[in-house]
Amino acid sequence: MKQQIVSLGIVGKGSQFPFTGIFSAQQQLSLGKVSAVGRIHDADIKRDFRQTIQCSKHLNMLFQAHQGSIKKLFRSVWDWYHDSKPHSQIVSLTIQVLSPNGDLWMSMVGTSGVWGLSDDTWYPLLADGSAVLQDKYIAEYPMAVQVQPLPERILVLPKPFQNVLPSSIGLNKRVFEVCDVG
Amino acid sequence: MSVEQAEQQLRELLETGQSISGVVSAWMERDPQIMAIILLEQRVVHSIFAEHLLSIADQLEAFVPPEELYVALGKQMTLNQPDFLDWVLEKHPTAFWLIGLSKELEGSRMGYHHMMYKHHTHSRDLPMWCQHYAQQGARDGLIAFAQDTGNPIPAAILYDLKDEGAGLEAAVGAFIRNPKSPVLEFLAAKIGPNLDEIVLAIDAKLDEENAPRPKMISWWLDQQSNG
Repeated sequence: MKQQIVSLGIVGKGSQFPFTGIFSAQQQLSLGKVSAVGRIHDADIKRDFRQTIQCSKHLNMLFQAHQGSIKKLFRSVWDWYHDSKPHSQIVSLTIQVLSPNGDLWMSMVGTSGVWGLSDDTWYPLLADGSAVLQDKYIAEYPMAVQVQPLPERILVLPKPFQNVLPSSIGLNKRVFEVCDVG
Repeated sequence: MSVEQAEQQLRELLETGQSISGVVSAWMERDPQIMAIILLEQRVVHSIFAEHLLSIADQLEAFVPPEELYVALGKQMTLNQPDFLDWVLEKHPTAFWLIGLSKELEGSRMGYHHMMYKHHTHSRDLPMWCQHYAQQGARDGLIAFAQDTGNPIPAAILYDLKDEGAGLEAAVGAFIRNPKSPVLEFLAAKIGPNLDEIVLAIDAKLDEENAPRPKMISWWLDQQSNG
């Protein structure tokens, strides 16, 4: 059976250079297709360039080296996140795992909203008051959620953006979608 | 007085080296459309005539659309076109018809002069204008701007518009002019962080041109090889 694809995207800022501070990773592992997308808020195009590229690289390396369960993968990503994130920065990060049998798991930090697209309609995957969006932890780690049914696309709104989808023009110009990099 | 008579009188004055200011002032008061027709139909092409019309551009703008006015004047200012374009840019810095004017006067190098002007005046709206020119089809002018200044923005915008050939030319041109140009930084900010193929293409092209490898390209390649 061909594995389903659920693209993962993130909204960038409304400017000429919307993807400043955005990093991403994607790898095909035995546990499924692993994707991650993040954003350093208030990143400077030049000053924070190396940091964002290194975030992509570290995530890809971490994915490639991973052996074990989805839960272990999430935990190793969050360990890396907490070790490497400067206190002064707001860094949003969302991880998504689509298993070969079609289960979709997500875990995230610094996210103000997550939307799914099905039949040309965007709908919120998490309600505004969701504990996941409030960055509540269980056993010292961000929560994981399973998404059912599968949308065609998932779009993340990073903090401190409001949980409001951009206009259709904004969706064309400001959305960065993860693609194969590893 | 008919347009033909005015044209004839103007020609005679110019050919005999006499001042045209008196007759032009008189026509501007009585029948300014005569001046508009003579200019827009390019019935008289003469540098003194053009210089004089430039001095009364504010009056002409009252009844000739500025884009048409300055395209017609620009065609007459062939010797001093760069100064003329600077003058128009200072007078109308935010007018969108500047793109049409540039297309008319600079042809395939459309956008070059405007970008250079923005560069020299450190204008914060340079990326916006570069985007507009690129969307209107400017390529050679934007590449030349990158080559002459090392500015990374044309490369980022051209790649974003999926013109990889022009984007590559602009990126390589910027790096050759200034190996420290933040080309990769602006590319990531414009199209996202997945730049491996683009960086390899830039590196190969720089190698073809016998240009030194910029430090940021070396850093990028090191990142990939260490992975």
